[in-house]
Amino acid sequence: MSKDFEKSMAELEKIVSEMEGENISLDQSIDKFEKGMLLIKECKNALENARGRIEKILENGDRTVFDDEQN
Amino acid sequence: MNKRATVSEINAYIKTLMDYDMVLSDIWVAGEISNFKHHWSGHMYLSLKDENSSLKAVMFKCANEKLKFIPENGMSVIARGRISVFPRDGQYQLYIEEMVLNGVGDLHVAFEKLKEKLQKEGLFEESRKKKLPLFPETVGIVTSATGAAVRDIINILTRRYKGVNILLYPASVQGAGAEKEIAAGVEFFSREKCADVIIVGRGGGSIEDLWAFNEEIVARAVADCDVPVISAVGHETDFTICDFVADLRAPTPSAAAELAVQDSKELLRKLEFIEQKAKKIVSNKFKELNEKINYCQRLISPSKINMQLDKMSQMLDLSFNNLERELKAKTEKCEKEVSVAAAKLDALSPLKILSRGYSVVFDKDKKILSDAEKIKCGDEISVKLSKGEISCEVININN
Repeated sequence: MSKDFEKSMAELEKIVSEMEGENISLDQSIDKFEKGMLLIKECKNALENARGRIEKILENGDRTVFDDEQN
Repeated sequence: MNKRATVSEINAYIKTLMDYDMVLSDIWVAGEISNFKHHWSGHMYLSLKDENSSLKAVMFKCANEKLKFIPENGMSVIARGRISVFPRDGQYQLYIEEMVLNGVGDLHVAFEKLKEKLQKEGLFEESRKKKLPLFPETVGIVTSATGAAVRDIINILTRRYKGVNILLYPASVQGAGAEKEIAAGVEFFSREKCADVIIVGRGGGSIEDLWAFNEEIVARAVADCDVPVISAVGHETDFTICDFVADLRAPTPSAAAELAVQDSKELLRKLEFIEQKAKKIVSNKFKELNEKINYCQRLISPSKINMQLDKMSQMLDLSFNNLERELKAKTEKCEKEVSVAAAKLDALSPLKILSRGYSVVFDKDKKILSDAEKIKCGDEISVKLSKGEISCEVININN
């Protein structure tokens, strides 16, 4: 998760609330719908497929992979 | 010595005196527990005593629920509370608010002192607390690399969201110098900005075990940290100075991990919800437009058009009939005029006159001859009869 994800979620909420508005044409709502579906796909992808690093800081400030199983 | 009072009055008077006393209103008392009784109502009744003296005490249910140990006779404790009179018995006693085992008593005093100092500086103010990021990319952890706490935190973080980066700053969390390592870890993340939120903490232990988190150096590091800090020290019942200065207190390390990142399953559900909502909005829009089209269609339906056509065709027929009638009348009129004219013409025709026995005489140039002076004897003339023509020679002229 990241700033991008946060932005995407905020954008999504905005899109849906705009779609709910009264004065929106069919073209516009289809446009927004497509944009929203794309964002949802991206967000889902980020949630399901992203893998983070687990590291620890060494005394000299470098990083190394932290393997919890060793401890 | 002439004044006289009832027992109630004197007890009430003494109670007033004691309740107004600054020293007695909030005081720590050290002693050994005796006559301990945990009443079925939940309240605890006991005495605190030393070699020479004894003090009656009561600890009500709401206070003794927070005790970290089960009191027993003979235990050396310090208790904090107010001393007041129980008017019914004329007995003064200590109303205990909190009680700790002696030995940790000194720590408690230090804790209270530092807490008061930092509070006065405003370090616990709600307005100082930073908001936690909604979707942190990297979670920094300051704790022991070997405890259960780090394992719990990592397990829960990754269970909630596999994409999160975790950066551990290993620090001793108890024993000499632990507070310096913890503070150094917090400062590291604040300086390097390599995490979006920090979890500082450790698993449960005795008050001495947790003590590093009550040290000023840790409190200052957390207060000055530019990155939001979640404090997670010990169990739910343990409160440390670090908890007070942190941007958020978590009851346990596991709970801290849950507060740090959002559950991707929940987020997926939320996305699903948004998706369904968006789909519904669009399909409703289509439905709405469809209804409009249907409405318009009904307005311009074939039957309506047919009716219109019928009407127009009727009007056309009517016009055509009129036209026909008019035309006929005109034609008849013309025909009559023509036949009158023809009759007139017929009457005037020279041929008609010929048929009545007249003839027309032409000279040799085929000009009608109407004057006898214009010809001489011997000229050739022709005579047109009603039927046929004859050529003649002039024999005689009679003027």
